[in-house]
Amino acid sequence: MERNSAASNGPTVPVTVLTGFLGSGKTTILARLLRNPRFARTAVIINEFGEVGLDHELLEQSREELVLLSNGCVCCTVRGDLLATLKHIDERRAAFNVDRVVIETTGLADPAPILHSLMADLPTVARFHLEHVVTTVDAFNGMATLDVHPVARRQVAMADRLVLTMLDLVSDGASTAVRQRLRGLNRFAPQYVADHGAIDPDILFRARASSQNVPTGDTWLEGIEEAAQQPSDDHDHNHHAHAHHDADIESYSIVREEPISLAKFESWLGMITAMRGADLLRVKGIVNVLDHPDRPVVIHGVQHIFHPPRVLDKWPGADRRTRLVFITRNIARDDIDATLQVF
Amino acid sequence: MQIVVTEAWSSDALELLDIWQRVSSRHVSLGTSCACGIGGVTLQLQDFEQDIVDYVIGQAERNKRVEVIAYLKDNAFKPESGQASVAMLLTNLSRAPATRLEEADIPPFVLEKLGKTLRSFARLHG
Repeated sequence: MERNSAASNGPTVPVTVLTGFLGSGKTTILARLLRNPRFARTAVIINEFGEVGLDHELLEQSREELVLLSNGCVCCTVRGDLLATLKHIDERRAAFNVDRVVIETTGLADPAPILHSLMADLPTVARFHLEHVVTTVDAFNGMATLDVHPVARRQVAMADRLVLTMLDLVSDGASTAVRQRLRGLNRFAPQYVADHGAIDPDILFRARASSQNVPTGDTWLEGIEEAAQQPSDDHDHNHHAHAHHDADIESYSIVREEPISLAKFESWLGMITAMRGADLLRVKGIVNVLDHPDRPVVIHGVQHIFHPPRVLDKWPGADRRTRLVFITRNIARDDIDATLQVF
Repeated sequence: MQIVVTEAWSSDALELLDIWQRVSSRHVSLGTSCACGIGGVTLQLQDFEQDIVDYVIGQAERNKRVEVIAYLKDNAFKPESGQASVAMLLTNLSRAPATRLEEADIPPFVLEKLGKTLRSFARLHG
């Protein structure tokens, strides 16, 4: 597990990562959103695959702060380009009057390297924070795409929110099948619908209404409430027609009644991450630590990179149990649970 | 001809000992070749040997199994250093005479708790 300890001076700029397979409607949604006056102060970064980028041309609105990263989706290339672009935005933040950043990934990209960049680079962490990963899924072609392209499954698995597009082209039965399949891949991401690119911006860019009054900015905690409401042994195994494609990816939760030693929890997380970091697609959670039980610790990681744990001033609700959400590849819930029990 | 009678739990203990010996000293490290740049941290399951033994003792305490606690204190710590030793515990279990342990039902309890943990670590190790 890699963590950094950057301290943030003042509020950080929220960053939404908009991902989804080729042709799933990312650019259409973004183009509609950017016409909304509320998003006039949004900087958009586009990461396209190939030497000639087109998506930025499709975003009709001419925006000085629109930046195209055209060097493909190789991890290190994206990282350097992306970090330089964020630095540029930060330096000219006042001039740009930017209050939000959206990164649209190439449809062929695994979003993980972009998320790593947002979590691991100290200057970036001090200025920006990952708010959401939004993944678009084309209901018409989505099932076939998920069958054939592992990266499409990873895009779904890593999402905080899923947006279905082109639902008007499919039957109710097909729509239900897509929804069920997405839930099998990522039970914690709520599913929304974009109608020809139109979607309520609040669905994508605001924290969901929470019965437990989750503090502003703690959108990572989304899904945690659901985790607490589900029995600990209730996890999906994708028992449906596409199980053979999706069986490697599982989403599940772990709940602990008793407080945990923070040092021991970090040891366990370090061990698990070192052993299977590549297969920890997303890990989010709120931890009740023995050291300061009134101030929970929020964790958030993508593969082997973890954002610095954040200590909350207080519990966001009455539930003070440790609740962890995992989206993994070929890691059984029982193995996570059994090894955590040691620490 | 010598006839060796092994207890039912001996083979389980030896199987777990084999698992432990295979995975405990294996180093796992964060990807130093990862483009995200940071690496070099190396861990071994052996580093958490004390935690694993403490966990089994904790489970015995939770279940009010005083005889198991006593057995673990006598058999899971190196006499010379007081360090926890999973290998020593499993070796002692595999060689333990039946009578006293059987009466106390100690081996099934220890092997179940330890087995679940070690097998999970082994699967995570890959």
